[in-house]
Amino acid sequence: MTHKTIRVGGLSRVEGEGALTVRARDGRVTGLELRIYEPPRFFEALLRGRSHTEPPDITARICGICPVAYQMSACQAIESACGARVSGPLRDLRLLLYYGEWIESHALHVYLLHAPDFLGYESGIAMAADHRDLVERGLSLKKAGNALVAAIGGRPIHPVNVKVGGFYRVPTRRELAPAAERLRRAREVAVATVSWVAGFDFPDIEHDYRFLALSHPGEYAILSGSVATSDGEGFDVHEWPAHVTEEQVPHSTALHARLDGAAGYLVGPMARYSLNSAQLSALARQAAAEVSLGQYCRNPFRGIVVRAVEIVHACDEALRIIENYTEPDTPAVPVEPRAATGHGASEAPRGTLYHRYRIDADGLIAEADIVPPTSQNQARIETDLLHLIEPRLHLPKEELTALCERAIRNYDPCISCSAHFLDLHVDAQ
Amino acid sequence: MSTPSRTPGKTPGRTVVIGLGGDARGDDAAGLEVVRLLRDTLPPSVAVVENAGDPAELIDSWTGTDLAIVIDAVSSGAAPGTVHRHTDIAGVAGVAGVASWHGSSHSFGLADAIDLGRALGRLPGELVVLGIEGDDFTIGAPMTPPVRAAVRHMADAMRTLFYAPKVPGRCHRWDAFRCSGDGDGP
Repeated sequence: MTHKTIRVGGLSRVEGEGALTVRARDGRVTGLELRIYEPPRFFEALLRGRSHTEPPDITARICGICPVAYQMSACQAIESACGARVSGPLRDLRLLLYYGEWIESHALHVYLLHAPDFLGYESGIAMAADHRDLVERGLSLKKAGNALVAAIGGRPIHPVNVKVGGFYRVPTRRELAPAAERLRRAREVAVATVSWVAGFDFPDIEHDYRFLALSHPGEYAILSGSVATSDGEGFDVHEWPAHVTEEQVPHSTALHARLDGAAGYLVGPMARYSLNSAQLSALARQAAAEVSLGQYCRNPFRGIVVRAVEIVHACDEALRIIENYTEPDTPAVPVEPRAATGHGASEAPRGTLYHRYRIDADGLIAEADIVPPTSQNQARIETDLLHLIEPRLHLPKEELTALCERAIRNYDPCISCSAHFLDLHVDAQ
Repeated sequence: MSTPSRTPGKTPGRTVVIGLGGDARGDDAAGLEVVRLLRDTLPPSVAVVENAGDPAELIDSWTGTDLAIVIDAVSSGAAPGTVHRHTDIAGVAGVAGVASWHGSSHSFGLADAIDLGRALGRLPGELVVLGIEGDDFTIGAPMTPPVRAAVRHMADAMRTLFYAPKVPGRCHRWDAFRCSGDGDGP
């Protein structure tokens, strides 16, 4: 009988920290656990008893990278419960804000977190020493996203201008002009980014994913839509609890999600692209076609190319909205509380983010449920790792460990969305 | 440790005070609270900036400045409210200082931003990091009394630093800040 043990002190370049244990016996993986320690449901408990106006601000604090996603899913869930509808230029402003966050988050991941894996650097900082221009290019792209979020949200991180029903204040056309100027340059950088990352050396690995992403008849879904899956069976967001269930697994304090009873589906850029790529902007489609990305993406290592294409789309669509923007008559629509349950979902940079709130007649939150993208992907990441590791158990420990780290980073796991301060190790036995 | 890389074309005399932190985690907001107390109270040549942990914004904030003062919450095991002081960049970004500065909840550490700024040749002329030892970083917790007191003290000391007449040879200008002794040199 032979045993193999791999231990790594931490997994860098993911948001938060986690722990991965792999046990192998006689060349077969007998157990694989992505462990998450800290109770992730604290925010749901924190929300109970708070006013129906508070979840956008409170849940925005869950993640420093995707606060807009939390704000948008929260707002829409509460508006749905209260029978309010945000449309027209107010909805456009929400889209703009969200595109800003996609640009911020994707640029950070592509340039500082993920590209170093392909170029042989241990970190974005190490890469910056040799490729200063590239890193500056990535930072300039991120800055365009920051400027857009700041123009609408009041500041680049943790926007303060979002409220249930809309905004506290809406920008004028003139106030959006500087952000648009940056976006024009960013769009060019984004197109160049697609070519750059598509030239990386990708392992020849494909998985038969079950994808889940929002789908919208009029746009590449980001802010809202119904739920589409690669199974062909879609459903409305309010039917989410009937289709997506969560279960506690012994090795993790994060819940594992199941889609129609089966674990291991995938949300995120590859799911969005594979289900909705026909709705990308013309420029984004062209950029994808020029690097032969195809209609679907099932190689997780190529997720970096999909992210780059989504940056092009975000820049392009944000510019289109700004060019057509007319200031709304009112910064927000009224949202009167009533005893009801509301569901909201949007596409965070890392994937579908679902919120559900039950509100009582006094407008207080009686129950909150948040399903973040990383906890939905967790089981799928474990499956990927199993497929990756088993045929490579003969590799030197360091090499196998590095490969596991890369495989996890492919999904840009914002583990802090699932649970904060994870201590990620990779152990194989 | 190499000499800090300075940015070409900087404006002489420009200073920035940056509060780093998060509002959702009790004492993690210490740095933000200091700069909120300082807003509109410092000379016009001193910019005051809040940062929720974005490394690109942090580097942009100090690029081209003569002096950058970064204030952050720290978790090193010292008594809550203890002020840590690093006037030597190597002390923050080097091996010795890194652990405690990574104790904050920010996804991208201050030490990482310093290292990235150095690699990009975008460090301020002088970088001072002031850390306030936190106690409770629980989500939704209020700031604890010792940290709140340290925040007020630091804001007062900062105003003194920028407004008090300079007395040559009297003392080091950073002596106005209580120091735990684990930080800088002179």
